[in-house]
Amino acid sequence: MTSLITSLRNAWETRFYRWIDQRSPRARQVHLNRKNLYTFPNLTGLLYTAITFVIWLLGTNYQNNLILALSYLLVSIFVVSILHAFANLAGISIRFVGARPAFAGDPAAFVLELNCINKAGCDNLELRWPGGETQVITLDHNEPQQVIVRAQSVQRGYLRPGRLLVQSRFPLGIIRCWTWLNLDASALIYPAPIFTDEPHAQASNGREEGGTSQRGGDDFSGLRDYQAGDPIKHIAWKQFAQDKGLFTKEYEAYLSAEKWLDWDSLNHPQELRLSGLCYWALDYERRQIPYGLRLPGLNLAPALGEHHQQAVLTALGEFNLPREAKHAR
Amino acid sequence: MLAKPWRPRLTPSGKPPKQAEYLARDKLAWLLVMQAMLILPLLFNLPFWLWLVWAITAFWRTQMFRGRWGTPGSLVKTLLALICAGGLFASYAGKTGTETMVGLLVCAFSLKLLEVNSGRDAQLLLFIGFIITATQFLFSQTPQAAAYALLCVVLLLASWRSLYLTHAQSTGMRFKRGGMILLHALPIMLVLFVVIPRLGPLWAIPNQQAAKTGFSDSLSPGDLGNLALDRSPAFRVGFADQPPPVNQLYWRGLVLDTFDGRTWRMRDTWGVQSRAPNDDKAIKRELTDYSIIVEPHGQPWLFSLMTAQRVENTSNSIRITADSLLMNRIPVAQRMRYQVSSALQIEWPEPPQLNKLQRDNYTRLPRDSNPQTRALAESWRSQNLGDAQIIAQALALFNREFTYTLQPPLLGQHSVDEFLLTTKRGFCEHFSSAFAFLLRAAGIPARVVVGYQGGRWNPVENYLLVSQSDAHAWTEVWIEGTGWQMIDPTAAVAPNRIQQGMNEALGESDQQLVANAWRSSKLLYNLQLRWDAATYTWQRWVLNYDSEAQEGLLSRLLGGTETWRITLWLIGLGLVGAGLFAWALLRNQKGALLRPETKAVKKLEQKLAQLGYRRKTGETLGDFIHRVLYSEPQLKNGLTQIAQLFEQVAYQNRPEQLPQLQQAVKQFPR
Repeated sequence: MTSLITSLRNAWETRFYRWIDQRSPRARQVHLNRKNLYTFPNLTGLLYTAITFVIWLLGTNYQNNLILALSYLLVSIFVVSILHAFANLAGISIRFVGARPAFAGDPAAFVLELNCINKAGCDNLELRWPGGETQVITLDHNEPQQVIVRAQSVQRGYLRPGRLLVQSRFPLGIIRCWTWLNLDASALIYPAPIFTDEPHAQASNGREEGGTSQRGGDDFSGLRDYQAGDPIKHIAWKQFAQDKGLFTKEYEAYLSAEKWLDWDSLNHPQELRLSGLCYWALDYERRQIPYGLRLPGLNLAPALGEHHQQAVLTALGEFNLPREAKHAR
Repeated sequence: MLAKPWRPRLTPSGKPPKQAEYLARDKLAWLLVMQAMLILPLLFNLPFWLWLVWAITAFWRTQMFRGRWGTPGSLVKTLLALICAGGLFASYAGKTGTETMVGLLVCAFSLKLLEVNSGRDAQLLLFIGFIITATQFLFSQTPQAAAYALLCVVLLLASWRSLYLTHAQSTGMRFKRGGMILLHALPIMLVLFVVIPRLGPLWAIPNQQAAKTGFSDSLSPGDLGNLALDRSPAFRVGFADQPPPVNQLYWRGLVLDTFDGRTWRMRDTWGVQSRAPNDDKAIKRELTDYSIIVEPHGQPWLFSLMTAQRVENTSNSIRITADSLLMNRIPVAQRMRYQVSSALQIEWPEPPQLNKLQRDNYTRLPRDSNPQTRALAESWRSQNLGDAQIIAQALALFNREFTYTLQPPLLGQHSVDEFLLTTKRGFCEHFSSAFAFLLRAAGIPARVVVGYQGGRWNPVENYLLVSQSDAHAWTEVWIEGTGWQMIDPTAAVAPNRIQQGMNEALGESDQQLVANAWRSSKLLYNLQLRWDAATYTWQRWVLNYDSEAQEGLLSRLLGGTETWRITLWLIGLGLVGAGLFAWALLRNQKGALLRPETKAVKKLEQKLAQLGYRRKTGETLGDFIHRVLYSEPQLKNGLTQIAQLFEQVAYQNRPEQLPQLQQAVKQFPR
């Protein structure tokens, strides 16, 4: 029974969204107008209707024309608030500016630019990707504003956040005016950094790594703040038990030298390998050890710096994506 | 992708902790003001300690906001609610009525404030606020009350809107925007008010108690004299045609037919009797139609001219008794309107008869009371005078020796004897009482009628205002072959009382007693007339706008009341409204996309286009002007100035140059 309802509901939603998509095809910039805005009373609106009915009953039973007039006034306010809710959103244009990359599992930030050509501006505007958190903003007349709306990412690759929900309950909260925008937006998602064994350059590459590359973990050098992905065995439990916070014991075992993030040096499934490479890329960058990336069909020479890190992470995020995911770019 | 540098976020992803909802300072302030304003008019009709309840909760809530006091626990809240309920129970002595209901509502409205922590709670509080506003009308329905309630609605809308506002806005602006919503809603409300059909009460409601005003169901010497100073309106009459002459304007209220020597009362069976069956055979003359809006007087009887034939009101609660009086099912607690049709003259095809029981009733007098009057009547009877002659004799006696005054001497046990033979000074109740007694003693059936006589004609709206001071008592006498006949003994003493109203009939000292400031000034008198006319219009078209008035108005406005006609009109009005809305929306957005300096340049382009130069897409303004100047060098001054000004306004952040730019474009090419 439940499954029947669920499947019916899914079928209905699919149909509905298809209809929505037909009405608002994918675009980088969208203007809100009567073609793509919907209005409907919400639960508060229902309660309001009940209150109106109570007042009408009071007026009818006491044969009191002024109370009746008040109940009619409430009905009129309801009607007018539909128009006001619509006017609040009509005239807004929304443009997708860009997205900041994120690690898989983290929310990705999509930057939108909104402008409102209503003289009165726009109040209490809520923006949300499906499953994401709601961003509430206010727009002034003809003053473009950039807003970050985050969407939750699950896996590396290109994240298509789906339809952007744009809604407002202003001015009276009894009418919800909303739309789903099919913005042409996507964000690159890097692999989630996960601790693995340190990748080693293969001897076959003909380059021996410089310095002494002892397996790290022998010489305790100090404590630093815990960061996600740090191995559990390196956590300073003693300090944690003393309520000083979560720290990671650092073992300075490496002498500065170039490191290679070599695809072949790790023996894991693909995604875990990429996550491991990602972890070590961040680790080297933090410790200022130049590092290079060696993926099947791609070689990035060892270097340091933000641009290099971005190039490495981008390569990891884009590596060997399924065809349709690539297409989404 | 953004070129902005990014930082790897290695912390475990998680949404920021959701903030506990709380009500901002301004929102709370709005709620407090709104509550105070809504409750204020109710407190005049409710126990005054309710004000204290509100003050305590408001103070508590403020302290909660400041973090001084804690949120009351459920035990405290229950205790507070119980105290309020108990207080109401004590104040109303356990009676449940409209006031108790409204009192409970006000208590709940006040106590709810302690629970308001989120926007959702505040929303609920506002909704209760609308019901509170509605209950204001249970106690007062004057235009002032309506204006006050409208103000309350503006305040409610402004604070309601504030709940959803996400940026700072001045108080005046909030009022303005809230008022805008009301302003937009009012036309729709008017249409709904005019068009929506009215229903009768759906179920019985607890009776409203109205203070009893006017005369009571008994008449003793001095009763009506007290009313003579009361200027408050009793009812207002609108006539379908010309009003009858003033000496026929006897508004019958009650028939008193039992006398105990001092006081006239109704028989107990009054009101149960149905109408006389032979009535239908009577020939009715001088039918007069009129509609009356009566002020609530807390009594079941209503007023009509002799003899009421037909009566109508919305809830069909009025019937006509055997004495041709109008009787409402319940005491009149609210202003109500009814239509009456009266036959001023009635002729009977065969002479009406009183049966033995009725004749006994209408001639019965208490034994041993007023012996001297009794003796006088019997002496007239023994002179072999007929009924008509006895009546004439009595009226002549009044006319000869009696004085009409507001300040009669006090009368004792045998009130009629003292009045007739000793004091000889009295008000209408003295004359009617003595007259009826005389006739009864002579064996002629007679009864006292209480009601109003005359009224003040208002030429502004053409209606008759009958005030409490018009209260009057007269007699009805059974004439063989004719039936009950109205005879006013006061008219025999002071004919002016009937023709021109009480003031003209009184002596000088009495006139000073009733003198009012407005009487002395023509201007004030006119103002008074206009104010009362406005009240009458308000009552007629707003308070008593019922299905009948609705039908009349609609057929006058639309030319008929068929469903299709009303539907068409509604659709038309809806289309007009939608059109207006679309126009307003477009006007608000039109041209807003362009900055003013761009608009000015567009205007310049239009002017150059007339000269045959068109700006290409992607061509800068400078390039375009260069191109124009190449072949039109005489335009150099104007165009270079415009280019410079545009440069300054658009790119050098000097908006103060904008008027010059607009001016230059306007004057171009001269």
